[in-house]
Amino acid sequence: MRYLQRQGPLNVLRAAVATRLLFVWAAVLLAAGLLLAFIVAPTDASSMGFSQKIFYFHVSIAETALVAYAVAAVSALLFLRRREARYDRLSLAAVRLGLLFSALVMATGMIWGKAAWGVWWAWEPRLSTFLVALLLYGAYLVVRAAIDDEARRATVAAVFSIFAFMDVPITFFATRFQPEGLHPVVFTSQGAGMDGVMLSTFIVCTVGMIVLLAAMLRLELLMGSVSDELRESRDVSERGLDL
Amino acid sequence: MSIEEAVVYVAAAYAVIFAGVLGWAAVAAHRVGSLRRQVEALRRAVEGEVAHEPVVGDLQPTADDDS
Repeated sequence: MRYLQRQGPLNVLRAAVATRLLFVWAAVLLAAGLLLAFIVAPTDASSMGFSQKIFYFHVSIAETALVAYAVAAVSALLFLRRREARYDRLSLAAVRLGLLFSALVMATGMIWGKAAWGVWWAWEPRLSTFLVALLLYGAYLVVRAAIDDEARRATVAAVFSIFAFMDVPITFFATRFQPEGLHPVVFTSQGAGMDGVMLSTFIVCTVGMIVLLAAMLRLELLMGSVSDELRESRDVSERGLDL
Repeated sequence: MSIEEAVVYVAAAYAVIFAGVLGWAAVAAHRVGSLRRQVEALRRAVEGEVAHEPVVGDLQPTADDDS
């Protein structure tokens, strides 16, 4: 109620409409990415052949997961600086979505690994560091759940989120530090190791995934703030004060 | 690897992605529905309180008011 009063129904409506538009944009881009991947882009000439089609969404999702963790770290920094609850909410939402995308990356990566390398899992740098990121951010949720005091929980979570983010650049550059690993280095300083159509397809898929992340984040934030306001209103009501 | 063999892996990978996104969408839809019901319940409760609140002009002095 107070949320609706403070934000104004029009602003809430605008936020909802903007979120819907983002979802529509994401759907259009991802549908275009699927069409490009399966109809326009040529089948890879290497030994991977048709299984390379997994690349377009697998790598896009991986990069989107890393973007989500970056959003979580930046909003954690902003929370520590400004102490505003909305940054804590954003950090939490970004970590949750980062975990979802990470789980999808691990699952699709294992399937692709079986197709390309003949094994479901290999302890090579990229896979191992991504697994570490998944476990670290999983621990972030456990740490949050273990602290009752709201202010302390938000502070500890922000520090943990920044600490966990240290694994993200290691994950990103893992294949460059150790190029002899199973993961190929596709993007180098000499350019992308693929032809123009494949690169365009990959860019469409990546932009689509990042727009999807933005839409999901907006919806999570909207739900989080309404939920917090409801809890606050109930607390006030139970204390017998005027809403 | 032949196309027939690869198709199984590709289909499995994309099925996992769709399942993940649709699973999140289902949970989000459930949460939105639940929040909507809670906001409505609170709105009704507040409106009920306002409707039962006595209007100042209608108050009649009672014996207690003099004390």
